[in-house]
Amino acid sequence: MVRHDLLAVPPQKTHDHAMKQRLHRSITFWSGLLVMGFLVWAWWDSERLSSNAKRDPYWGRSTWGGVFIGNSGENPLGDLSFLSPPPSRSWNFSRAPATEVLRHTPEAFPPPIFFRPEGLPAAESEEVLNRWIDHDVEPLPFTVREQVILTLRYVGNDGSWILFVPHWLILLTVAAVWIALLLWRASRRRKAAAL
Amino acid sequence: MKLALHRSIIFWSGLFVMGFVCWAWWDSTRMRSGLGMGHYGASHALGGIVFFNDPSTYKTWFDRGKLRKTFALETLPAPHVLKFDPDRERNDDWDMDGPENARVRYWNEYRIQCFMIKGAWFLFIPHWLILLAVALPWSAMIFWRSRRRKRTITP
Repeated sequence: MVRHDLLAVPPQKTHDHAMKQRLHRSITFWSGLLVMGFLVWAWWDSERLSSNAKRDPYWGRSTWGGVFIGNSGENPLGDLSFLSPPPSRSWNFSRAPATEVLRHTPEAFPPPIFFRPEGLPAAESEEVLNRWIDHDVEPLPFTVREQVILTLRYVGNDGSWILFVPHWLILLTVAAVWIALLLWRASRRRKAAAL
Repeated sequence: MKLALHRSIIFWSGLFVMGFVCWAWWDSTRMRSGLGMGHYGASHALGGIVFFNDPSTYKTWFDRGKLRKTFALETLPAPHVLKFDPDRERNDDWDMDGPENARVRYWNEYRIQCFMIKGAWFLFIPHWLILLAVALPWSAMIFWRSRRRKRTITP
């Protein structure tokens, strides 16, 4: 009897059908999940390994909970590594355990950072340098921001800069765009169903 | 009986391998290529391959780039094995473009003393040696083939 009732009202049913979100059929939904899944993995991975890419003067690195992008400037120190026979411009990709000696003070949500050597905050930069000179414990208790300041004080030269984008910020940006797209989709579907 | 070399797999595969080695040799004079895993790695440049063990680093890496044009090049560099020697003095004023560095060995000695720690070693194998190691067995096999063919055909 129930079954008979259902079959008796087909128009009503198609209308309801169009109203449903049917997320499992949305490319936005699935590709967003895929991208965010990758970002969560990359975040986790960056806490234990450092993944590096380099093409002088540019370099990129995912470690310490974020992505670094840098320019080593007009006159880079050069590749002081045995890996590079005669110094030259080259592509280099590597993955290694995240540096332990220069390990930052663990920060769950480090802030984004951008610095040029000439734009370093003078007082903070001085304080960090002194702390580094006086250090007698390892790993050194420095935040990502302090690491960037130290790096630029030491190897920064004309035209060099370092940008740090934390993984939480990338994830948040992607999630915001994803939710906005899904909301837009929902409103489109609602309008279509109302017609 | 004719040799019919064009129907020999040994002949063609040998040519193919030696062609590749020649290309790699030429490539190593203008580019450096390297890869590594853990403490081990291989770097291809300057007319040969360096296999090395470096206990001071641990990483997975890949590298390729142009060599410095100023770097002198040895025509037939000698194979060599080097070990890090903690008693040897480190040569800090090593001249990259000096005349002595024409020897690949000189460069490798500098590298191992400057950047490595105890337990590190280098093994350098020049391309001419690899080519020879392929060409000799190859010509021997071709020679045996011709003898075999002569014997089987002549009653």
